[in-house]
Amino acid sequence: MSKPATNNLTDIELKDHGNKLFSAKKFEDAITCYSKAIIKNPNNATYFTNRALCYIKLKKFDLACQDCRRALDMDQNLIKGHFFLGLSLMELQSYDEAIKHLQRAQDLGKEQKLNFGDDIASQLRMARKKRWNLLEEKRIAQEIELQTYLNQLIKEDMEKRLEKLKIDDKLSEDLHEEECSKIEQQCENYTTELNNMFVKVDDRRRKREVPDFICGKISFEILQDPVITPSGITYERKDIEEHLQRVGHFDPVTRVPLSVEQLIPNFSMKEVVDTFIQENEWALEY
Amino acid sequence: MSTGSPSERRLRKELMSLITTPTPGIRLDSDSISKNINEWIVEIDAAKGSLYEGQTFQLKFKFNDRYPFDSPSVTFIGQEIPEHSHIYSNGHICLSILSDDWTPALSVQTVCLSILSMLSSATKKERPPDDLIYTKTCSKDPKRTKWMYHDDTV
Repeated sequence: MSKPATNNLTDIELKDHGNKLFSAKKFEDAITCYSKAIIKNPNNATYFTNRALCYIKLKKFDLACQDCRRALDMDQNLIKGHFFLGLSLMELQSYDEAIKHLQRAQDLGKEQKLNFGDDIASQLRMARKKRWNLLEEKRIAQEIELQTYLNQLIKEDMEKRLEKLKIDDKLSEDLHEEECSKIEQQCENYTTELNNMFVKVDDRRRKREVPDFICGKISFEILQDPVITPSGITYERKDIEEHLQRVGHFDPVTRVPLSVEQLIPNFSMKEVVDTFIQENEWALEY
Repeated sequence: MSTGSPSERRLRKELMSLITTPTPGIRLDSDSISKNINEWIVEIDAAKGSLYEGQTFQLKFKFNDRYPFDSPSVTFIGQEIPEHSHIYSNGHICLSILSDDWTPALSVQTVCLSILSMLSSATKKERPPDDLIYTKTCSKDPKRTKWMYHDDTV
């Protein structure tokens, strides 16, 4: 099959052609089209964000970042620019920057009243969780290093003291032995106590739990868009809406009649959840 | 990490809480869910002071992908099916929260508690009056039965 000649097309036609190729998952060919469109008209940010998405699909995240940044240079308020840049930066493990751009994309979406469903929000949660995981790994590695170092210090100190005792020949043999075992015992106690302390830190890590009161009564997951009913029960919006549609027009907990118009956003609960997440990023799910 | 459908995610949450903070008298047979998260076997111990004191029963929970918006199908299985005026000899249970009165705020744990309380409130060990006819004609799935709730006190 011969490829259609693209040389005489306008930049818009080239972009449209690129979009078709993108839909057909021909990302390399789509990139060629967008690149040609960019040569013809280097001032259209969409060509860059479209090409960036192709690069993301091909896992060329560096190139995707470049294109997003060029698009954002043209227009600071491009949701797609921030979103794709955030995605690429996350893949490159630059989590701080990724979170910044994903957050910006989410804020812009809200400002412009555009609904991306959970797409941006879930990527943002993923970036925060990945950042937390990375930091946690580092913390654990540092703790292990510290634990090893302190154990070593105690051991070295014991050896030094025993050595000193050997030189001190004023002591009788019996007393000498007594002193030795005293020192050994003391160091052993220190070591046990030290290691117990580290075990406790580890236990606390394993016992992390999300409190029930910040979870929806239907999904049992952390509330993201909490709404409160006239009965005073808080639900995740999408779950309670699904319940009203599928199961019936009543409050699932109190069974009092309920319609979708009666649902009120629960901003206080949102604040509680956000504060908890801020301090416990390990709890994020995506 | 949360992957899988909403129903699977919710089932995993319930599983975790049953394992980490178990309720006395309610035990999950963890082997039963190792193959399939949509089918659980739960053992319940009848309450002290009830007619069934000292007896342990097995409940089979089956969930579909609309759970928790759709109720689970719950039946007694195994050797011992409690003799109770709302429990048929094939294990089917006539309990409104398992069909018409189901709400997604209920869970495996609350269903088990309801069944335990139903057992506790029995004053006589007997089968439902229509046990013979029902067990001969009913569908395998109790969710397909159009239950008539004669007794609103349990």
